[in-house]
Amino acid sequence: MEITVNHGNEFVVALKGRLDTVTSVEFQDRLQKETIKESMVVVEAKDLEYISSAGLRALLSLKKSLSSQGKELEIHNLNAVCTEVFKVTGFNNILTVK
Amino acid sequence: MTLKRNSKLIDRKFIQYLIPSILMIFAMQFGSLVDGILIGNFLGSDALSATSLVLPILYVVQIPGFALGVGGSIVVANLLGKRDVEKSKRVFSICFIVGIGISLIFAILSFFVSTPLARMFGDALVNYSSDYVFMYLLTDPIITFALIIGSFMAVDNNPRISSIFYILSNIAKVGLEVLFIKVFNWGMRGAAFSTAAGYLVGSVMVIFYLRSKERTLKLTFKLQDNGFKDVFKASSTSGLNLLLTAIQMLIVNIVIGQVITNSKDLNAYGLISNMVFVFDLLCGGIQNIIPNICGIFYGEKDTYSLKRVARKIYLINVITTSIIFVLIMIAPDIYAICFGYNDFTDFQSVAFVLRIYLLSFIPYEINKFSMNYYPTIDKNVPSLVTVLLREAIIVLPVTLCLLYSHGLFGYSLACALTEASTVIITYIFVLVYQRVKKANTKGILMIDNVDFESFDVTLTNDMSNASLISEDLTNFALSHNVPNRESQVVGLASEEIVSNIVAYGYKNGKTNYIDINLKINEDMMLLRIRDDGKPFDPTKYEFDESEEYSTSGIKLIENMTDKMTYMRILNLNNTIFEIKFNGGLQNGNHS
Repeated sequence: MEITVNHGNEFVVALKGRLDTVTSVEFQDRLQKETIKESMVVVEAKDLEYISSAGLRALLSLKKSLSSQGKELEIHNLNAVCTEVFKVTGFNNILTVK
Repeated sequence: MTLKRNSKLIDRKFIQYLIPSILMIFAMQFGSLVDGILIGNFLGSDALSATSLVLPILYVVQIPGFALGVGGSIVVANLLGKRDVEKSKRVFSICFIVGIGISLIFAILSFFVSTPLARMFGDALVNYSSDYVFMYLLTDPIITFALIIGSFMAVDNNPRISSIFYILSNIAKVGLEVLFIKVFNWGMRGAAFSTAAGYLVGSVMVIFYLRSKERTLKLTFKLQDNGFKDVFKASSTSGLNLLLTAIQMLIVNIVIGQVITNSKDLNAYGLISNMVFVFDLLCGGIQNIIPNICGIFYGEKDTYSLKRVARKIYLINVITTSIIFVLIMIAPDIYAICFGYNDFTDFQSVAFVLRIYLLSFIPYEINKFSMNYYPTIDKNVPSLVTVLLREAIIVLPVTLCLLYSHGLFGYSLACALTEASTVIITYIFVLVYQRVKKANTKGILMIDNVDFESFDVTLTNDMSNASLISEDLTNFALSHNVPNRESQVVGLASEEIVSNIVAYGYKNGKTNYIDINLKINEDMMLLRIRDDGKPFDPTKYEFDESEEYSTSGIKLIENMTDKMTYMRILNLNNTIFEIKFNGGLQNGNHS
């Protein structure tokens, strides 16, 4: 999976490929190394092909961490399959999906 | 990444089934041997001769138990492989009802037919033989119950309990036989009753089976859509084999009594007869696992495992037979001493006859493989050919001709010739039969040609493999024109289950193996994940429904796939997913 980050008005994390058991650990490690000063974090999921429950847990962990700091998380441009995963698990209720 | 299918997982299962099976058959054969010794020593040689004479009747009496036990467990193994639990319960119940019903008729007949049957073998030993036949018939319901439950316990995830059942029964039988004959003075009736009484003692193991969490089979009386036809088909080979063996034994025994008159040849015939016991003692357990393991793999259409296990059984069987063959061929005198033979004047002629007879055993074991294997994979015709050839069509005329013309040497030669020719004719028949019928099978093992796209790999229990297999499966599905959504879902299902197995399935710190199989048909995919971790049924997993979201991978895939089923077969977790794609396979490339 490719992870690219971009600081600006929003902190944007662009994901490309698969967010699964192995890559979700990479995802979490990568974000831990970042100093996020922005109040809004956007996960750009346009090129995210696949997400498993491990990926969802990584996003949930990020959401909790950001919330404790008074920051917000949004997920943008999920594809059809990933959207279905969010709906089935109820993650569309707890994460802001656009 | 290049993941490949290997046989590590099924090899472990093979050993788990093989060892109890060998011990079980060893115990059964050993029980028979000690039975003869006890009768001979406590009741005399006339009593022992009487038991030999009535052996064909005992074979017939055992037909319901053996045929329905073996035949029924083959059908159940196939059905469990197809995950048809309800029908397997019906077959299990039918076998019990029919078996106990027939054996009850035998029990009632015992009061009327025992003496007339015993008289068939002459009046000299009628007191001994009628008592023996009477008690055997009377206790047949117990024997039939034991033979049927023993077979079903093995196929229903409990091979160890089944083995202990037989071992315990045979040990108890020996102890009780001494008690009945020496202490209670029950004579031949006591000797015959000890078999059923031993099984009654062994039946304590049935309680463990009934309490086993691995058990799938239960009695049911809802017998609509019954499995009578399947049971009859699968039982026909073993039943016919027992019946023809009994008839053949009856005729040959009568003729031998007429043709062989000197004591030296009679003693040599005794040595020859016991040779079957030696080979069955050591090879019977290997053959015995064919219905249980091959039957399930056949039902699952797991051609890789079926081929692997069948070849292994065949090879181990031939190697074991060859070792015994060589040992007796080199030292027939030591073999003779083992059976109490002590007249070594002109032993060369006896040794020659023994060696000729010995030639029959490698083909004999191959024929037994055919008779066990072909019905297991629902190919009854080749097994019936083998049974008819070796028990009737070839063996009787050839044996009788050579027995009359050349005595014991002729008999030995006839056995070797008929067994060998049965192997050759059966195999030619199998090859021609497949060609004529244009069957979708190939080779001597008649393995089905795979007519669907199949992905077959074995993983080690490493968490990184959960991601790798997921990606591989998705790519495989996409490359076979499965729509994108379903291709992603199949990857998701595999990742969630495999990661769960790796995280919670094992606590032994060893390398463990997980078999993954994906079959793609026209409008659906079937994904099977098989592991030998601790039993875990994802369909019964309880979710925390209080939260408005769920991080459970199991819940996710249960909702995203069309069907998730679970079965514990061969002591393995089998989780199966159906993923349908209504529009059918796509043509062209996928993004």
